[in-house]
Amino acid sequence: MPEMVINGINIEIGDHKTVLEVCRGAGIAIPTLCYHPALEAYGACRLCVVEIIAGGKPGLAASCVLPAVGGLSIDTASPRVLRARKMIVQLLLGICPQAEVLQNLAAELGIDQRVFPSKEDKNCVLCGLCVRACKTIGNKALGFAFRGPERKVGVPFDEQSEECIGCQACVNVCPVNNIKSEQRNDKWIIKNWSTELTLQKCAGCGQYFAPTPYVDKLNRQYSNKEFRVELCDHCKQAHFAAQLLSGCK
Amino acid sequence: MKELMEVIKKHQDKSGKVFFILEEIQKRHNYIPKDVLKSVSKETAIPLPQLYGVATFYTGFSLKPKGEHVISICHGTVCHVKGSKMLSETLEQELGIKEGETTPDSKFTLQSVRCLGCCSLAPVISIDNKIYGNLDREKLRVLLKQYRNGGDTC
Amino acid sequence: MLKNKQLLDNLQELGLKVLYPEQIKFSVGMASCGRASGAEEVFNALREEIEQTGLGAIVTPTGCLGFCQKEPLVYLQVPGQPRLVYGNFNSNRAKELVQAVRQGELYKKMLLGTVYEDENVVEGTSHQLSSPSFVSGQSEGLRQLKDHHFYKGQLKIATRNCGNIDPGSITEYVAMGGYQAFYDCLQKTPAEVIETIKQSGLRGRGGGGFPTGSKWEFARNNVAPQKFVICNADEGDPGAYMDRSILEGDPHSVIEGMLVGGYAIGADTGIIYCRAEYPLAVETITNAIDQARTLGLLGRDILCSGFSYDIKVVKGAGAFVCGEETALIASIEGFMGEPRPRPPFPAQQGLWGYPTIINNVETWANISPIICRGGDWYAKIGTEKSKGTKVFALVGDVRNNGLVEVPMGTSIREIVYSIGGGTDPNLKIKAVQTGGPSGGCIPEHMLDIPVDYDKLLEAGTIMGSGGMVVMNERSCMVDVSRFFMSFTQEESCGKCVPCREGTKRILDMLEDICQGKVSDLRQLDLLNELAETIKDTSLCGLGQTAPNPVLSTLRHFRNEFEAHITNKFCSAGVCQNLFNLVINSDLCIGCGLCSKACPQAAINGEKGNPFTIDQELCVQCRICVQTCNKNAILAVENAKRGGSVHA
Repeated sequence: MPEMVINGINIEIGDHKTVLEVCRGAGIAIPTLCYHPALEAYGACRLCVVEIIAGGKPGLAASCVLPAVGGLSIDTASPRVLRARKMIVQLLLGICPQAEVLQNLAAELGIDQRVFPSKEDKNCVLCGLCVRACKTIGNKALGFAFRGPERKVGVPFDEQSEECIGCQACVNVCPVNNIKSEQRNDKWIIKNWSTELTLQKCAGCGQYFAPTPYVDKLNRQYSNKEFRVELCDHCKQAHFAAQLLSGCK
Repeated sequence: MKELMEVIKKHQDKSGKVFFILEEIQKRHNYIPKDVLKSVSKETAIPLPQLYGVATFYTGFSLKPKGEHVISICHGTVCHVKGSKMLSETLEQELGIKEGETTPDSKFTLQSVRCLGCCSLAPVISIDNKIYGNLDREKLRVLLKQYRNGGDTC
Repeated sequence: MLKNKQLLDNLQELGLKVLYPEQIKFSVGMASCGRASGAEEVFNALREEIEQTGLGAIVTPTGCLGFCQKEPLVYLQVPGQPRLVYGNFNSNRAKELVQAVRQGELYKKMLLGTVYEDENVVEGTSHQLSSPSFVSGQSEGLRQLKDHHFYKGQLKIATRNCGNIDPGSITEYVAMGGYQAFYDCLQKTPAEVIETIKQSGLRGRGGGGFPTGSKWEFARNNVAPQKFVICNADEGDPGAYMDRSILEGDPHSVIEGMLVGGYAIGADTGIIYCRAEYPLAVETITNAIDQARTLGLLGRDILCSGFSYDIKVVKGAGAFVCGEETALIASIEGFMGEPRPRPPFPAQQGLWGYPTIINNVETWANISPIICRGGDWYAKIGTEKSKGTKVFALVGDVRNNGLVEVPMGTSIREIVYSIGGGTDPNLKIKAVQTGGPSGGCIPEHMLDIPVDYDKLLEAGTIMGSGGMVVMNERSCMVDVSRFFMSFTQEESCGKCVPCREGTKRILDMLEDICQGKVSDLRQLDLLNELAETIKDTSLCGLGQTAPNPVLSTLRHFRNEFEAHITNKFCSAGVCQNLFNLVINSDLCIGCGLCSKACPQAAINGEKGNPFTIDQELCVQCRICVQTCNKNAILAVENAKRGGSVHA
């Protein structure tokens, strides 16, 4: 069984592919921002860096994309790692100072003063989780655009998206709660993407319960005509409860 | 639309396909129009956000129309030391626009480029891919006048 | 279609006749530098004059011989006589030359040197143009080009054919031993080919310096249904144009190298990724590929070997970061040029997920001679860990600007002073910058460092792709580090936090320092610490090396940073508002040139006596400094900021 060494302790790699996964499996905490276990690793925030002591190129490497191989020895909180983490958090605070996740990290790392003044507080840390979530769960409506300091996340041309189905994956996955959506009468608005979607009425109670494109996409995926999405959660539960009861009689 | 289909058909091999298609569109229209980009996405099944990302990431592509003449100021190391800033200031003054912009009459687009590789002639600019070196304020003004009066120079 | 060695040999014979014809031949350097200096007019003038005078001669284009300072370069080859090489030509001189030839006279104006024999680097032979004892009463005592101080210390392997052949002629390439290496490889096993490259010690010339043979071996050993070979011609370092020169001057050397590489790893597709800013290079290489295809050197079942291979050209779209291997791959795949985490390395999983080798243009150009002359031949040149030669773009404040190829181990001092001829006699060299935006500045007193991957790393810089920028005392090192950081900021892909946000902060700090807005020396500690973090944590080579210019200038020129902060003084006279200009009365000869040039009419005086600058009118534009031939205008501390003005 291949093993690696983490903070001086031998740990079995098992089925884990990356060093971050091995650490999490062993209960060793490493901070992350752009990582999500259900999505492809991106390696952009660099908060999860660990120091390679042996078995690989010496230096710091992002653990979320570092392959876990037998013989690798790493340190998750060496002075070099902590110095780097602190500086990265300082850089992040410089763009998104009010984000709770960053403030918590700062407190953990013992940062009491911001070193970089912010000219204008942006709300996006460009972690790309929304893009990856939209690619994996949604309808591939989001992407990055521009380059370097101009880089941003969004929909093409910043106008109404034809691809967005309103699944809310982006809203739920954003670590700084930057993506806002709301209902306005019969429309579902996702402000950040300048997108307005029509809402579907429940076939049971007549209330709006989900964006129509989302319902359509789910129905396209189900070839079984019995399993149509047309009820809100409440009516769906009532419907299945009734079915269950009638089956029991 | 038919032309677009021909362009897409021409570039079947996936390596470099996106670049080839966008380059041909840009040559044809002088920029990449929004609706054409959307059509490319539909016809090639390449997601629109991916194409939009490519069109905005690379300075070689433009989503806005370019002017009749494209002036590129070299901001390489040697040109910087030899006075590219002076050329920048002079051109911005003469044309009334900043780098990255096009004059209202669509005659000139001003952009910066990092190194044309003619360092022995620094400071250097290129107009429509033609290189002009050893420039100073006066020579630059004369050059601009020649282009304003139509046609390029020797 | 070439089917066997005999035909290749026949083509070589034909090529030699084209290269050394029985008529008088004029050649003009028509690469980008040449054209930018007016080579096209010279070419046309020669043609016209030849037609008008009825001289039985031909005019052919050639690539860049490296002496860019002297472009346009013209060559005259009269059968049986040494070749004459002229520099700084124009239409008038072209006409005069033709007339002189018609009259059988020696034209001496702008003559750089003579060439008695051409070396065939690939075959290790030489072709005599005329005997060394050739005497015509006129050519006695003429300097040979190889003794010209610009060429004396050079050893041309990668640029062996540049300036000597017509890049549009595959026959001339074959004449110089071209495609022999590829033919030899087809008689060997791929493992043997790789062994030769490993033996040579060749390391990647794009800047990474990774052993080429090892890279090929990794790709060979990864089994996959498809493999790719890529030529990285996305030369983006400002001040570096070696790759362009090779593509414009000897495109087949790259094609042949890629054929060998493809055979060695088992690939059937090669891609040349070339910057769009190099239209002439793209055109030249595309034509060369077409020619190779026509002769059956690219395509299916090449030379009846069973090996099939073809090359396509993909143009870049204006992103420096695409010089990074994984970003380059991403862009070919149709994505933004965002680098990907390594491992996995391209040799394992590259283009479309398949094993891919990516090498720089100069690396490819070295392959043919290594195969033909042997790995141990190459390994004898250079130092212990850095074998062979390196092409540098020697530019900046140096007398002889151009491309030079020297054996590894040559000192920077020799390159700058002997080959380059030093700088303006009134000024001192302050530093030499290597490695472009990823490199650092070496102060003058350290210029004895040999050109070697590891020695340059120890000195705080890198070999890089070959940019070598000479800076004299008029360069402000704080401004230089600011310049490189602004470049990196614009070119950063923006994916990872340390590079995107970190370089922004460093740039802000450097701009504040250059504007005199920083008063606390501890900012330099923050600068250092941030630079180290960016180096340590960035995702790709661009970010990891972005802080090098700042770190090296802080290390070697800290006093300039401190003067900007403590005294608000820029001693080089570059950073606006941080200096005043005064005329040194001991050096001023009262010629009045500066006064005429001053756009503010701020300089006055009587001819023959020292002039003075009116500080109220002076806006520190420095036009006077650039005009003065005596270096008599100094930058002194700004009186308004508390410094005292003294001449």
